[in-house]
Amino acid sequence: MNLGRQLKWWSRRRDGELAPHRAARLDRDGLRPAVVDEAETVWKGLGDHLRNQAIPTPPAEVMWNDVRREIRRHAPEHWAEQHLKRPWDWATTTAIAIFMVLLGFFSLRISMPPEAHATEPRVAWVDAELPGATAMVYEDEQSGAVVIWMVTPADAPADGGKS
Amino acid sequence: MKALFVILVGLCCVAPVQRAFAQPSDVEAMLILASNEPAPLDRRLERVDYVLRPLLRFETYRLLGQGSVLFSGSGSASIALGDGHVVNLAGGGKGRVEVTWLRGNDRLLSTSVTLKKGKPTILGGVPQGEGRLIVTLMVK
Repeated sequence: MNLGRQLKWWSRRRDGELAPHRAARLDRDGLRPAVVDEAETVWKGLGDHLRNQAIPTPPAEVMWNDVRREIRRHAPEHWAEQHLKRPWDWATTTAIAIFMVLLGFFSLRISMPPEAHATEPRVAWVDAELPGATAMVYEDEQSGAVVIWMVTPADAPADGGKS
Repeated sequence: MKALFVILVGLCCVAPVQRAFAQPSDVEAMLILASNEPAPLDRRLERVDYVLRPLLRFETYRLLGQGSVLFSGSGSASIALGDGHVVNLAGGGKGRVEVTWLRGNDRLLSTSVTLKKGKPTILGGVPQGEGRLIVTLMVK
């Protein structure tokens, strides 16, 4: 193994990035030339030097402005710009709105109870099926009740029936 | 936002349609004997007594039987009221219900009527003893 590769491997081993089988090979073969010791001394000194360097930190306000700018940059576009920027989008939205209004109108008519048809009588027809009986129909506006009363031949005028 | 708007409007529009086609109503029937014989107020008739008295002017109303059924307005249903009395309901179209009142196999009264919620339909006049039989139909 040439010296350059040995240095590379020792450098990686120092950083904990050397593959285990290569680390085992270094240990097995005892490959550690003197230049590695020198290099490690330099690497250590360089690390100490960098750690002692003051890292320039921008003011908090500047950093906050950077964050806000990034947020704005990644934020989705305004809804209208995003969804309604083309004319046919407006047309589609308008068509849907008109359709919904019409649907609501007709469904309201369908769902209206029959009582909404105030002009129609509540009773369409009556068959009094007792022999000789006839039927009277009376709709009471006050209570909303409808009375369908059979008048039989046995009814006497003073029997207290439908008045 | 747009999708939410469409969904909300759609729900507002579709809900009445579903209600119109799919909502069955609870129809309650009461078989009542009305007469002029003095008797205490039948408490079970409180819900209809206030309607019956001014309209029919009998002295006494006595509950003989009652029943209820879920009726969709387009199908058919029967309510047995006791003593052989049965009320058959059948959808008659245009919101009307064909009502047939039977005693055993005898048809007493047939009619086509619009049943209104909270507003009773009163069928009556069938002689029984000194009184008259009444059937009230109430949509609850």
